[in-house]
Amino acid sequence: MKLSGCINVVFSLCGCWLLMGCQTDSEEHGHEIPAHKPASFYRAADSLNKRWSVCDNWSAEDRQQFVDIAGWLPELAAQTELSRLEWERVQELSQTLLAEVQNRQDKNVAATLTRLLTELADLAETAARVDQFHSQLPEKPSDD
Amino acid sequence: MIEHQFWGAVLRVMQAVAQASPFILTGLIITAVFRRLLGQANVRYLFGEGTRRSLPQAWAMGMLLPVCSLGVIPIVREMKRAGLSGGTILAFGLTAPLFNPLSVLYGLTLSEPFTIFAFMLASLVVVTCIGLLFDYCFPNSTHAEAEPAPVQWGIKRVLAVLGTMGRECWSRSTLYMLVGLSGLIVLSVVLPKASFQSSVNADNPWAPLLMTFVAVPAYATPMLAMSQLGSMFQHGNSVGAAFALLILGAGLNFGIILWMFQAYGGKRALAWMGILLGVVLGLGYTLEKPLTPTDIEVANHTHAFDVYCCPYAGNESRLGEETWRAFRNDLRPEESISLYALLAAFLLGLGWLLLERRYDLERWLSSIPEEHARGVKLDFVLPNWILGATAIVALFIMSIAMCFAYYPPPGECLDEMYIVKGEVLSSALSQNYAHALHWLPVWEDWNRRLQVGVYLRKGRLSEYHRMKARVVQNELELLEHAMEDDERDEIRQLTTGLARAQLRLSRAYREEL
Repeated sequence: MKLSGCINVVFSLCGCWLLMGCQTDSEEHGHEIPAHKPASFYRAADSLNKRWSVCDNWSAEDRQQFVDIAGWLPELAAQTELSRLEWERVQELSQTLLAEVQNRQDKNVAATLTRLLTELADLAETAARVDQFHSQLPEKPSDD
Repeated sequence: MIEHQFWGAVLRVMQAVAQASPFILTGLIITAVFRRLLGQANVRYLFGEGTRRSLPQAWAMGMLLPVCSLGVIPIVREMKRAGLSGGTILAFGLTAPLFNPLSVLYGLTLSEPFTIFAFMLASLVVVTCIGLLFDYCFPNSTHAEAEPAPVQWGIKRVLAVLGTMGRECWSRSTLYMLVGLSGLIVLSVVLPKASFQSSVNADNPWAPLLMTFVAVPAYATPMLAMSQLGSMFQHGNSVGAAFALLILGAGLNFGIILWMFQAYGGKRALAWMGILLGVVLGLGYTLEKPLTPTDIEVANHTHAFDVYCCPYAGNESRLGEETWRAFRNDLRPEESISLYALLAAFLLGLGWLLLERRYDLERWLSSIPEEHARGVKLDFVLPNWILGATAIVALFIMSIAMCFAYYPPPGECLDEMYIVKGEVLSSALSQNYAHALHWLPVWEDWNRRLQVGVYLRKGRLSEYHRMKARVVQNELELLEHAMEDDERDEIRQLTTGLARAQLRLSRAYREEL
């Protein structure tokens, strides 16, 4: 019993020492939402098309933002009334965009990406059309 | 401040007792079946004692039996009485509280099911390595104690099992369980409210070590540990810390450590603890990079460990009433029933002990019924070991069958979510945040059960359905933070978004499965 009591005390002290850095975290809550994350699927598709149209002048940051937005497409599309088949197509488009954007200098790849983005824009139009809550279309012009 | 810490510790211990009660009850049943029906020789056979497969077999048994780190205490004590080796007992004692069919299913529907498989295999590595080392270093750890005379058939067998359960309640097992709960008091006093929200972020190299120090005194049921793991993956926390939480938080507590010291002596117990901590930390740091999910947005905090911190910030009043209210609110129906059953077991045990003072119950239990001795009865008597084996198999089957009850079909989950949605959204909008914050985890729980229920029945869960549930989960978290910060405009916006997300989720799971 004596030995186990010592163990309890040792654990408590070690815990206290390691947890000295644990301050009460009550001021800041929330998940950081990146500034370039679009508010809706419609805006994301619009943003990707606009960014793609100036891809020749991309900086590393522009490229990264394009990748980020392409990665968010499935999540944003899940916030629409798109059917399962349409959503799965969005997911495929997202994966292809992410895979091919590295090789955008290649003419064939560029043509493919342009076609995919056009298809994405069509799906975004569909999402906006079937949107029973009118949450997809921007209330004010997009910053992009 | 001391008053807040006192009531905070009281609440944490009460919550833990309630959560542990179904598992303690299961542990008592298994112990009684081992002692009274299976017998020591069959228990040794069940765990493959003396063979090379004893450690993996103990791991597999632990995976199937639904007990927690408190409920496992009477079982490991019984295993020691049966003369099993220290390595096998500790392998079972460490694995059984980590996984059961309910928690494994829950884990498999997380965004990274591969991680759960990796953790399961890593736990096998941990228990096998430690068991082999322990048995190699301390070969003479087996010592079978005297076995009670075999119980005769009829009602005596039932009474023997019930009586053993009751007696075990008044044994040292309960003392070890209470010591196990003392870790929660330590944590509640040491950790202020919400103080562990950003301590185990993935970019903190000390996260696995820090978690080790918190996880050893902490008590977590298998389901709680798995849901905390899910939350850690979702928030992009340290995978090494998650592994340490699973093995040490769910698998270990002060009570088990104390039992080890008393059963095997300080030297062996310290060696085992040292090897365990070394292997867990080593594996934790090894798994950190390869298993870190890449497709999630890293959050700078998690609420998963709020349950280990003091529940009170220091500005609350009428703490006694508040503690009772919080306990009643968190109490689930199955916990409530188990608490009554546990109380009944304690009373039965007390009665049994009092009767034993006047009568020789052991002799009565082991005496052959008179009518059979006279040769009047012609019916066939099943041996005790068949009944014992049947009881253990029934427990396995029940723990799998319970999955279907705990994770109901999508329609039932969605009906429950519909009710909970009303509670959360209406109270959030009317600024009754305490009520909304009470119901919000219930909504999250049903959201998880919905996914697991589909996975259980269909054998898979599509990315589409996962994503619909993830959207609801994300919105719930945002609403929780908005309420904590009293952001009223944001709350209005989020309640609208959440109602829509729930509607889409409902449509997806009802019409597009």
